[in-house]
Amino acid sequence: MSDQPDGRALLEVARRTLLDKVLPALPPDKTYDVLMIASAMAIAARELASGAARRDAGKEAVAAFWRESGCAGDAPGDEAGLAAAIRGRRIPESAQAALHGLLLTLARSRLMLANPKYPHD
Amino acid sequence: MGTECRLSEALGDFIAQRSGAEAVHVLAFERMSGGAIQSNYLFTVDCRGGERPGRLELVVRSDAPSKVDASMTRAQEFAVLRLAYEAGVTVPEPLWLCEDTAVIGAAFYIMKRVPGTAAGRFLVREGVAPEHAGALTRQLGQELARLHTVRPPEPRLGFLPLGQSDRAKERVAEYRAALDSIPQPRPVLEYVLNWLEDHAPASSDIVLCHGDYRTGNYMVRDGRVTGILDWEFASWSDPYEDLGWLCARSWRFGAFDKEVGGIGHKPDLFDAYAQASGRRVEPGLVLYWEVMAMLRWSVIALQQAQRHLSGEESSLELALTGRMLPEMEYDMLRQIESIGGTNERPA
Repeated sequence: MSDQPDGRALLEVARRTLLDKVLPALPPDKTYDVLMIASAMAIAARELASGAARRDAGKEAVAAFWRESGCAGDAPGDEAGLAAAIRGRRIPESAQAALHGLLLTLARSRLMLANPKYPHD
Repeated sequence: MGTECRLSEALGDFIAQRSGAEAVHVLAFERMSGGAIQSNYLFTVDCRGGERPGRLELVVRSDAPSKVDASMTRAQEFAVLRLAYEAGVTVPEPLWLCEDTAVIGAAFYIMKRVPGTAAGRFLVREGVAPEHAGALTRQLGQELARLHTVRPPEPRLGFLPLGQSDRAKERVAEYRAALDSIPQPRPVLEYVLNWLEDHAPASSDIVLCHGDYRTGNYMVRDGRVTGILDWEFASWSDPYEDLGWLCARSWRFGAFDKEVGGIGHKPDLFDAYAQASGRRVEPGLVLYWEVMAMLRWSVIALQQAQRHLSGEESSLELALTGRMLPEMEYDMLRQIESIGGTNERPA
């Protein structure tokens, strides 16, 4: 267990301080920079909280796709292998719907880290 | 004498020479912010005599000293702007081009300044009164139809490659090649490229396209377009490429229900475009080219993030652009689904 508050909690309180106390005191031409900083801090905090778990879940989803589609062959189970198999048209028609579903799952998971407020289901 | 002062004097002399004015009095000169590739200046002068007597509010656009791979030279951009102006498109009137780098240290051209604002988020949120939105959307269609009357061959645009007539497939090949130079694997983009390839329509036509026709790149005042800006991505292309870019979800600035750049609705755009061009708009083709637009924006965003990652240009803005990919990827997958089916090839 890490010392408390942990990295995520520190980022969160730092971000609140930036937005609540620093931003109002700055000239308007700095607003955009501050909002970008706050946004980067929020992404980093979410990644600390659930990034590793999401990466593992993503790997598992890719591996499950290969197992269930029955077209694993020698393609490695990471995203580079998946990208290469798609480019190489090595995924049969019968697995395209499952592939679409897998990609949607991966995109949604990344969206939850980068911008959970972005409209999605 | 400061640099700015020397620049404005040199520009004043240049205008006197080109316009035949007896005297050009500099009233204001100010560098505009932004633009890594170009330097832009606001320039206001008063001309005595010559072809443009009186007060002139101008913009000077030149290459910035730190030249990145500019997509077009100022001379080329001037030629495109000139043709758009002659075709009746609402653009800042291009006045004079100077290719002699001795005058201010870089090639430049001078155009008339147009009033209004181009800030996308502002226009979408509060900059366009609801009662103006329909007419503005229609105007966007009319402007595009006018631009699309310019067709090859056009000797003054000889620098624009004519390319294949099959524009969609050509773009797919271009974006695949661009993706190859990005180290991160992007399975979604590969999947979307396959879909775009398998569903590629034959080009409906080849015309002069703006290449970046979206909210944020046109000036608006009182609900009217006062000038279409940023012509450096113009190319001979399928007219649907411009329509798709304008309507893509990525350029609605959060107003997702207003499919035309977060401003208005497709029936107004399509109807106005069809009336002005005499060509009916096929909504399914626009949806296809919206996916192409989102794919292109994804590739650009990855390239921007790469500039940060490689250390070429450390920038928070570029870094965050890289984290926008999931938004585009999610939207493309959903749109492909709604267009009909997954990546099974069409019969």
